[in-house]
Amino acid sequence: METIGWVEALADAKTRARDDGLLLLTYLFAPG
Amino acid sequence: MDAVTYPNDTVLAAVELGFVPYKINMLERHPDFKEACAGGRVMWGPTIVIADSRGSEVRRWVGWLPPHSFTAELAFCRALADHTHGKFAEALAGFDAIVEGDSGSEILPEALYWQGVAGFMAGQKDWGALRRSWTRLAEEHPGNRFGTHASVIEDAPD
Repeated sequence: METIGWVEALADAKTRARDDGLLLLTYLFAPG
Repeated sequence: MDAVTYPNDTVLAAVELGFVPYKINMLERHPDFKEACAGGRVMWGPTIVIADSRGSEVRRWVGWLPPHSFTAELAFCRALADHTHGKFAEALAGFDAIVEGDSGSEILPEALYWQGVAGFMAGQKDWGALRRSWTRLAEEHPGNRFGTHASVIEDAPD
């Protein structure tokens, strides 16, 4: 099953967004 | 989000079409924590923020959404971002697509509201476009907040 390709670093996400579109930022409260 | 919405094929396709996904667990230490939270307080999860590459926020919401509502939100955010950047024709096309293709998502009243605004702006103060969208909105969604906003169209100039 394919999954979303989460970008690991926020700086990389912002750089990619310049070419690829909008940032989708997800904030979770997930007990580890 | 990770259990139902994000694994959904339709959501996956919508994300890949124009969004760069990043997520952070607020309960874990993370090197990007400070920067990721700089845009505003995160009080509950999931919090979803759509922003442009400069970090300017397009939309923020708190709470889980099922796949069909989430994909409608992404389409709405794309149109809203176009509107924010002055691309009114593109924004109008986006809002039109949501309104015409809506299959029961909660975004329809708000999409109608912005369809009217984008039509007004794209058409150089096109009162007819604003009146069409807002009249429909006020008539079809009288109990909705955006239906209330749009009800002022009764007092608009001819």
